[in-house]
Amino acid sequence: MTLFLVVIFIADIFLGSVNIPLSDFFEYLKGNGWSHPSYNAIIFQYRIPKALTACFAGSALAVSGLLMQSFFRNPLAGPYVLGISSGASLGVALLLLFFSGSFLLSVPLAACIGSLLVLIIMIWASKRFRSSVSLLILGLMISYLTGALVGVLQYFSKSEEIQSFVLWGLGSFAKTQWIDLQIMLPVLVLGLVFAYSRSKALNSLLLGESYAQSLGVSIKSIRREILYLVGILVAWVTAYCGPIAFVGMAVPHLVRLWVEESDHKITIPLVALTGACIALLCDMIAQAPGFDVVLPINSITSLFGAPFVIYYLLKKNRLG
Amino acid sequence: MDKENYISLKQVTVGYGSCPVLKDVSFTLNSGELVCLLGANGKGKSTLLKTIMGILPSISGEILLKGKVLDSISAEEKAKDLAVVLTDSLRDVNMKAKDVVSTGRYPYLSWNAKLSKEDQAIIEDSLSKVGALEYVDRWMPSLSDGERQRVILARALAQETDILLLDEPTAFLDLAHTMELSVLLKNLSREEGKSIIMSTHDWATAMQIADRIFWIDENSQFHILETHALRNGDKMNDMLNSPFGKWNAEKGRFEININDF
Repeated sequence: MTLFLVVIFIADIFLGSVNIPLSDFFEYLKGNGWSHPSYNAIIFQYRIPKALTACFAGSALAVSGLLMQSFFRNPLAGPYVLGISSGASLGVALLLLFFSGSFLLSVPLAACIGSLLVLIIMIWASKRFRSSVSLLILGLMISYLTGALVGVLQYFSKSEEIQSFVLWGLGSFAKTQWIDLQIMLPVLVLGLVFAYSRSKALNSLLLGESYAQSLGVSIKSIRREILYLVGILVAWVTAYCGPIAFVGMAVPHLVRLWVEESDHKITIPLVALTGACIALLCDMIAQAPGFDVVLPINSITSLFGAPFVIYYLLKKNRLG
Repeated sequence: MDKENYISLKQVTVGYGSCPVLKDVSFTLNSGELVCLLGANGKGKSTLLKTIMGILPSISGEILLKGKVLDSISAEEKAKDLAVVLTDSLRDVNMKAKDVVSTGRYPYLSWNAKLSKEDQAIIEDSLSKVGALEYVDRWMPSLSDGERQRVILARALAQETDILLLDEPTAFLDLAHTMELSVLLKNLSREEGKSIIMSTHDWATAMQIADRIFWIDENSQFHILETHALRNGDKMNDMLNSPFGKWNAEKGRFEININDF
């Protein structure tokens, strides 16, 4: 899997609307320089940051999805369902449509504020609602609510503003530069490591909250940890790449089809790796090698993700 | 073996929020005792068990676990003294049987949940005690109700606790499996000195295996009854309070009034 990731990572760097031959890269490594001077900039300023972004965004979303599915004991859970992505969208919509301006870091900040607001509501609710199902329904309702608010905002906005918001909403791994990566990557890496360190509690949670509690897991604190963790991971990815659907929900299922394991010590790293691979693959498809266009990431992930989830559910129902 | 006091409740009221379900429960439970908790649905059997498990806070009164106030014991420590079997059938839990049983060892493991050779041996032993060794690698949804119940019980045994609380463990079981479970629980209390409370609707089984019966009546009164005293008295028929059957003290069994139809 790791090898596969490396191969895709390299392929992702060299494929794109400007085709850079691999042989050129070996020449560069030998110290002979690039056959075309712009290649250097394309590789180091554009392609590598984009590939890194895709990797970590994919991992973070996929692990968020896994955490939520374990926490809610519901295979349909994902960052979208808790309303966290929608919260981030609302924040960005307010910024781009209402204040119609953007400065350095303003989009990430707006997304974070939006998703954290939803998160605070979810944490508040998680203390009051006994069942995870109520929480899940609340997340869905928040998604609808923010969707409606964004719709209303769009209706009253100028077309240029709508365009920049719609562009953000289509999703892209290509907007991050090295400076963004310096802020984005440490947060995501820390989040992933922390998720891994909670494997034991997560395994217990698979049996349900009461059993987990009887095994010495503090439900209140693990609940809070998972909500904060998922919220921050999703907010950071959404801020930098736009809302990216289905990676969070579909990748854990993909891993489940492929390895028969429920232990988070094994599934978290696998889901992270697979998430990275899927994001890179989607990015490769999105940049449509041989064409001059770049397709929106969100459409690609949905095009492949939605049928896959349907397939998974049908298969699961047949077995169950 | 010296009797040790494992659980003691003093004037405990249980319920949800400020809404009491069952009031003023007092009892003590010693090591090696097997108690059956009986009562109609909705009378607070599960609520009482969940409160002793520490999953639900009590409304008033004092609960002692091995002499220590329940609330003062950390969740991790409690997990080493008390294991539970809940009504949740774990039908939709996407785990293999052996992984479910492994969670029984979690209170003894550090964050990475690495099982030692000793842990593995305990898990295997628990599985073999309930006769579930053959389906260790099966997924929970693929097991039958009876098989799943064995796995759930093995999980509690793997926790190696002195106290076992079981909420209707026989609910999904057929007669043969119910008898098998009864024998197992009786042995655990007799030979390993475990304290066991098991809620059930099955009076016939309770009369045969329980040392004492805790009974919640229609008026939500909590009664403690010696099983042997029930066997020969009319008390049983008062408690049963059903026109469709009665306790035959001579034969020591319940009889349904077929002739009345």
